[in-house]
Amino acid sequence: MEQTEFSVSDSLKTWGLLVVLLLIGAFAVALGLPRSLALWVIFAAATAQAYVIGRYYMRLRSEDVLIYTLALLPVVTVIILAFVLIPDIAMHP
Amino acid sequence: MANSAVEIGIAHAPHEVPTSFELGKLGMWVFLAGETMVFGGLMGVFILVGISHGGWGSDGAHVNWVLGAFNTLILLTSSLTAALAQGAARVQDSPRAKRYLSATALLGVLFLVVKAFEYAGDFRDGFTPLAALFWSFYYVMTGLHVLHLLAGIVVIFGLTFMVTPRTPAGWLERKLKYVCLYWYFVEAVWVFLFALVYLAPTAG
Repeated sequence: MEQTEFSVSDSLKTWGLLVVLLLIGAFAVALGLPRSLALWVIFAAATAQAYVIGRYYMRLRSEDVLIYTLALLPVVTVIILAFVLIPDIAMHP
Repeated sequence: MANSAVEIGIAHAPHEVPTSFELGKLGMWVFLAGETMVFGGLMGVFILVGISHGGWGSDGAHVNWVLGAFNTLILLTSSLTAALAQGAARVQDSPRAKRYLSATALLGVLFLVVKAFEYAGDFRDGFTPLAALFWSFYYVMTGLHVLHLLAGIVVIFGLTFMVTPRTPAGWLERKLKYVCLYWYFVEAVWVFLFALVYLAPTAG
């Protein structure tokens, strides 16, 4: 199941895609886009990069539900914990 | 999964019960889940403290994002060579896998050299860990990442020295799977650190 073939050209394509996403984030800063738009572009590009790394390099595309759970559970937990802290931040003097 | 089960059956003594799960891989994913909590927690606190302070202001504007981008390119390329090493191991070409592995570790060392220059420049300009809250976060998060990268480099170099032309392909492929999984994780963490610590504070 996880013996997904992994050719040189696939690896190069994945690398190329990651470099393009890196450039998109960098250009958002270099071009001086408005801050809110730049932040959206930067984090969208970073999330897309993490997705590509997870799916193609870490082979999540061919993993089963247990590995997916192990990969996503800490991310979801951290997001929940961060949201739980928001009231404290909002009440910060 | 069937192939993994067969792998376990071969790798262990006959009296052991083969499992339908590759335990090494499962263990590595459990470890990475813990690491995700560590880095995720730090990043979450960094974002929340930044919001509570109304952004990082001029402190964040001093990071050298061009050097950070160059280092990101280095790490992305090191993951490419790691993937190529896995590909070579899969077709039982141990010498080629060894060359790609060496390239991966050397690119990791290059990342550390660039990072050292960056740290030296920051210190020279007075941006020490105690200069401001932003710089405390910066050094803790990037320093922790450097330690993880260093561990990866040591393991990869160790694996490189263990590989000989007579190394069984299955053994190498299995070891590479775990080591590369860790390496890709360290790269994914860096992608978010770069966005969070280098790009976001200098945007706009």
